[in-house]
Amino acid sequence: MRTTELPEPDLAPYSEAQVRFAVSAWPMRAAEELRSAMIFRALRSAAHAAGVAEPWASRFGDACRDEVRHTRLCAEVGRRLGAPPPRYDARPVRARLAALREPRLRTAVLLVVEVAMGETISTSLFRAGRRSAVEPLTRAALTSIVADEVRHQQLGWRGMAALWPKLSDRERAAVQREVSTGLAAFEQHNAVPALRRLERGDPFDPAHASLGVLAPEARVEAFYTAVERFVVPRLSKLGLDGPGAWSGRYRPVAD
Amino acid sequence: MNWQGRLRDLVLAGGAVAATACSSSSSAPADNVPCGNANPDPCICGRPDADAQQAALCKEETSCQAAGGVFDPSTCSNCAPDGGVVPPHCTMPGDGGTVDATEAAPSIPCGNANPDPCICGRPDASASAAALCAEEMTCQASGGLFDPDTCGNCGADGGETLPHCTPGGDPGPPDASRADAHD
Repeated sequence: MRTTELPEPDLAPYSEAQVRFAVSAWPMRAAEELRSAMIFRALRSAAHAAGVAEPWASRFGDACRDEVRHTRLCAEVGRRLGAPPPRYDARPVRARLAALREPRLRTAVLLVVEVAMGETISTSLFRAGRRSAVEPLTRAALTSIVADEVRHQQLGWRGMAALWPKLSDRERAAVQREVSTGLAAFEQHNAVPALRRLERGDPFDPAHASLGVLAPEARVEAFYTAVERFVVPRLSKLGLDGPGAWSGRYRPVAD
Repeated sequence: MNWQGRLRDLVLAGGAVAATACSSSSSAPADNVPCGNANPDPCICGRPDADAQQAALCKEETSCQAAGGVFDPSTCSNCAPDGGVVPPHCTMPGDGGTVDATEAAPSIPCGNANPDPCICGRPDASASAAALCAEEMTCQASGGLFDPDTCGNCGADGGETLPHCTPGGDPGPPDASRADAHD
C-alpha cells in the first residue's frame, strides 16, 4: 500500500491522551522497519559474497525495498496522527554485522534468526495488533505490513532450507548457538516487558488496542504461540535442535 | 498457558537473571532491583520524585513499554558499541531481528577521525548530526552508500566535500557496506 492510498484517520472516539499514547508507537515501528531494511540489505550483500545462487539475493533486495516502504508507511501514519518523526539508530545493526564476518555464516545466521524467526514472531505480533485495531488508518497500515511479513518469514525459512545442506559442521554448530541466543533475545525484547507489566498489575486502556497497541496478555500469547507452534518445529525441520535451542536459551554458550 | 506460567518458565530457564543484567529493568519486582548507580532504571528507588529529568525518562520508559517496546537507560559503560554511553532509547520489537547486538559490539572509535554522524551520541548532541544521521539511514536503507566526507583529503581539490549518498548498484561484498566500515 502506498502512503497516498491510506484512508483518513478517525480519531473522534478517542481522547487526546489516548491518541498521543498510542501513536507514539509509530515512530518506533518506523525505526524497526528501517532496521529490517538494513538487515535485508546486508543479507543481499552477504549472499552475493558467499556465492549463494540467485534468485535468493534478488529476493532479499526485494524484501529490503518492502521494509523501506514499511518505514515510510509507519512514518507517514505517525505524522498524520500527530506523532514525532522517527529517530533512526544504525548502531545495533552495525554491531550485529561486525560479529558475523564470514559471508556464508553471516548469510545463514541473518537468514534464520533475523528473517525466519524474527519475521515469524513479527507476523504473529502484527496480526494480533491488527485483530484488535479499529481505527481505520491504523488498521489499513497494519494490514499492509502483515501481508509482507508473511512473505518475508516464508523467504527466511525457504532460504535457510536451501542453504543448510551447504553449511559445514562448524557453521551448523555456530548457527545452532545463534538460534538459541536469538530466542532468548526475542523473548527479552518481545515478551518480558509485557510480563513485567502484568506482574505489576498495570492497567491497560482498551482504547489503546483499538489504536493498534497490543494488550500485554495479547502480546505474551502472540509471542509464545509463534515460538512454540511455528519457530521451534520449523527449526527442527531444518535439521537444527529446536527444542534444545529453546530450553537452553539462557545457558552460557561455549565457543 | 497463562502469563503467570510463562513467567515461571522464564525464571526456570534463567531468563529473569538476564533481564536484570545490562538492560532496561523498570518492571522487575522491587525487592529484586538494587538501587544505586549500577541500576540506571529511572523509575525505581524514588528517582522520578527526586529528579525531574528522571521523571521525564521514567515517563518515556513507561510509554515505551506500554507500546511493546524495550526501554534502555543505557548508562552502563560496556553497552555501547564504542565502549561509551548510549543515550536512553526505546526499541520496538518487531521484524528483522531484535537480537541485542550490543553484546557483540565492535570497537568504534569516536573523535574527528570517524565522521559518522550516527555514532558516539552525536545525533543527540547536535541537530545537524541528527539530520545527517537520518539521511545516512535513509541512504543505506535504499541500498546506497553514505559518505559524511569530512576528512580533509576526500575532495578532488584536497579540501572537504559535502556529505552525499551514492546510490546502490552492485551491492558488493559485505565488508564494503557502510555497516561494516568499522570492523
